Amino acid sequence: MMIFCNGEGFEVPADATLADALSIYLEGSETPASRGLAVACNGDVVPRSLWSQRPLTDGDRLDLFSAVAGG
Amino acid sequence: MLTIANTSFSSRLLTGTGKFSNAGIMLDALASSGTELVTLALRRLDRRDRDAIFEPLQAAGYRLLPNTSGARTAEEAIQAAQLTREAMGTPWLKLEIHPDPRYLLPDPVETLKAAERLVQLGFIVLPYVHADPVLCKRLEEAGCAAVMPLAAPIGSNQGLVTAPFLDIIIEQSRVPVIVDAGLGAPSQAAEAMERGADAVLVNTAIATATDPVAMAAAFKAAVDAGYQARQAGLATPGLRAAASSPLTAFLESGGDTHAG
Repeated sequence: MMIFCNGEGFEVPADATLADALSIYLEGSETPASRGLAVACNGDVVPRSLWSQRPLTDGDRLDLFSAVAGG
Repeated sequence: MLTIANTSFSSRLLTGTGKFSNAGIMLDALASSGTELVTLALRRLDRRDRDAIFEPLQAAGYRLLPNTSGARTAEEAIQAAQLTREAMGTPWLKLEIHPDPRYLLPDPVETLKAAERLVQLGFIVLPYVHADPVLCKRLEEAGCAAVMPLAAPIGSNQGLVTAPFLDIIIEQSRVPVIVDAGLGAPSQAAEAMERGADAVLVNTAIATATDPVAMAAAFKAAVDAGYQARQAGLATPGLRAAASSPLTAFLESGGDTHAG
């Protein structure tokens, strides 16, 4: 099925959870925990503890945010 | 000790993490500043960005104060707050809502609205506001843990433009007053502390210095000096001279006295 991460579409297996989709999307990148990552699914913030249980459906829109320098 | 929301800090210098040329210099400057509370922002993830700063800051033991910069309304700030709490694992929040990119002045109406709601949602709210004594009182009544009135527009290095109003805020406030934004030189930070601020927040003046590590040390010394001076009790300014030496006319025998 097709999932959108920050507007970028990509394929994940039909039984993928939110955690699975993140690891596919962030492949080769640092782990989410090290970056201070937050995820909203279709506009709702999903707590980190639920990432591995949260099922996805085709066309779900994930918004990913991370900590950056700021004043 | 500075106490905010039952948390004690021995440093009265808060620092931002923005505008440093790289993460290494930023971490060295923070260490040199002695800060214990540092601000961060939240942005859409850039997969290619490898200069992650969250983990090093956490590893170095800093308490994090995520901000809501980028939010233009109370609604956006509340959503940003929920994301930062999730991303950075802290309910502490520098609430900043500035819709105008030219002066980055905070919107008081949206800030108060957001603060009331965020306190209900369990956030430790430190709002960035104009130096408005009435607004600061309203934010204190709403349950904010501190107030962060500006000295001058963000990054402007103008110093204590709002000094007379900061004095009123400091006199009235029952929560810590952290002078934020616009402090361009250590002398200005020292003056803010002499006037009775509980702490100051500095970012641009340190980050954009030729030597940020040395400038961070200078701000640390200035904040310490200003705080000590305030505690020691500052002398009162006056129009006329007041002799510091004894009024003894040692050149004349029994004549008029002259001060020196």
